[in-house]
Amino acid sequence: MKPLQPATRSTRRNDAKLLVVENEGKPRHFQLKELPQILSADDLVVVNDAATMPSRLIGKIGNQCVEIRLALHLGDQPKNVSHWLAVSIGLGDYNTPTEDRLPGYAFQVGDCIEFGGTLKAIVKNIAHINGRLIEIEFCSPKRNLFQQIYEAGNPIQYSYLEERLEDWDQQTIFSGPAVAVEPPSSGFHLDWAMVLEMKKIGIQIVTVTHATGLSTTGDKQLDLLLPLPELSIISKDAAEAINGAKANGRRIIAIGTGASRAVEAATLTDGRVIHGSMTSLVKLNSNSRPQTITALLSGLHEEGTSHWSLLESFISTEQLRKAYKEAQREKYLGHEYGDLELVFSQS
Amino acid sequence: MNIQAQNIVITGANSGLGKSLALQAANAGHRVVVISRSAGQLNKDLLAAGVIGISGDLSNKHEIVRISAEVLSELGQIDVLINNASQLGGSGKQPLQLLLDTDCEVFEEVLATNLLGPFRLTKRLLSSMILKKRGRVINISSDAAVSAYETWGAYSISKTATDHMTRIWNEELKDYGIQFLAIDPGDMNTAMYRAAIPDADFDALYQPEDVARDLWAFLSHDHFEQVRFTASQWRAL
Repeated sequence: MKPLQPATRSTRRNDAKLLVVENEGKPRHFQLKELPQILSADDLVVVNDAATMPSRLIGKIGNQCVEIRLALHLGDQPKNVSHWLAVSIGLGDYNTPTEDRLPGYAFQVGDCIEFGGTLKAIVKNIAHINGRLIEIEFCSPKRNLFQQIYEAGNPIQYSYLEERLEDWDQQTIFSGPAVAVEPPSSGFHLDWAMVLEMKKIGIQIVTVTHATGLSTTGDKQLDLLLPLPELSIISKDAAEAINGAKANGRRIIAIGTGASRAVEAATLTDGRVIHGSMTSLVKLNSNSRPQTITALLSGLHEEGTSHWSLLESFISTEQLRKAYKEAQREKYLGHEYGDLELVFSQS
Repeated sequence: MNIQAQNIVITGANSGLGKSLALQAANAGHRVVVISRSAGQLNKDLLAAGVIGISGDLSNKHEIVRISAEVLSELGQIDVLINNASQLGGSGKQPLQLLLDTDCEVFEEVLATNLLGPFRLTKRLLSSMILKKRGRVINISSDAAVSAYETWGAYSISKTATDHMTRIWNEELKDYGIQFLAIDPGDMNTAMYRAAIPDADFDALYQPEDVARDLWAFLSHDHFEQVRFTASQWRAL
């Protein structure tokens, strides 16, 4: 199936489209700004409030230039930003898709990557045999590690975008703790006018924090490991709100795959959602069904992507294909800054 | 201020009123983060009180994303934001000058620090307050926001605009549990005031620690009927 044309601008669009996919019926077309009316006052909306780190860093080992991408936040709390899983990427500009780059530098334990200034990272562990998935620890004699990583890092760029992204292009209106390395992009087109309207209707909105990891490494072997076990934080208030909605048979709508993964990972076998910091080990795909989330609002990605696999836990492959074809026919834009679909779980 | 521990963010808090507000809040058991250009070398009293310093230039739009992410990574969510950082403009030796002598670049810098900085930071930090339907944003104002004093041009204009921004924020968000206040603390014996009016009678001025104590007492009220308070108005409540 030919992929949808990707959105080529990162600007928030007031005219973003929304495809609503449920049961066996024909997918229905809306404007995203109609979302408050599509939802009902009883619904509970869950959003991922992770802010996105500038996770592309270029440094040196001796005279050798190396590029790494932060792949996963390994701190036990958002404020601890020294430990990360990172992927070694072949050098090249951001117009070259990651998968088309040459293999990245093969690191060894003990390598010291210098990023300019006083910021360094020590390779603490090789997390995969080919030396391209590594565990690193940032260090600096200066206290403000957070600031230095932001100064050294750049946002991950998308080769299909016309412009070079700035840090703020990767944040949503909910951005809070900086634990994501790729943006919770389903929230890109939501604005406060829409959210305040939802609140006025009585729709309850809660946040969870999900440290979205890298979605592609450019290495087929490593991509099989995705999504990595990501950190999720669910507050007591959020867990209580979700459990309350569930007990009353209300719908729970996740904005983005990160929010859905966080909530599903926190769902016990008896159906209760627990609060606290946890690692999301749950992989949602055609072999599983969401236990808590009723519907997922997300961008449109083609068959074969990890995003598509996750949606197969909500609805049949056949229905998904039908929806994708419908989106193609109506010229929806795909990928991170594109149009959206709201997929209801068949279970 | 409620007795329950709150998460409080104060800008420009390494000296003067901001420092006193931060110190007193931390000593009362609240979690306090201060943001200032020099927070890398946080004042030792603040450090001892457990205040967390985040260094950054709030007038620089490229730093706001990092500063707000760092604040929220530290605190998770925010109950009170106090936009206190501001600058007079001009040079260190001559901070006040006629509007006619004010360079456009200086005017822009003053607006970037006193108006756009608070706008950008507030915008980035409001989310958790709106979703929880609870929170307070206090913009520190000045009588120069109302009175047209000779040579206070850029600062005065920035404060007038910030006052009005406070009213508009409040109008847009008052139904969502968030209260915006613009408070003129009154004249104080601070480095900024001494630089502006070197020949003033400093002994006749309030000390910043006394103003901070009185302001926290004023802010313990649950609700306010108005957005902007002059020094005599808030002191009378």
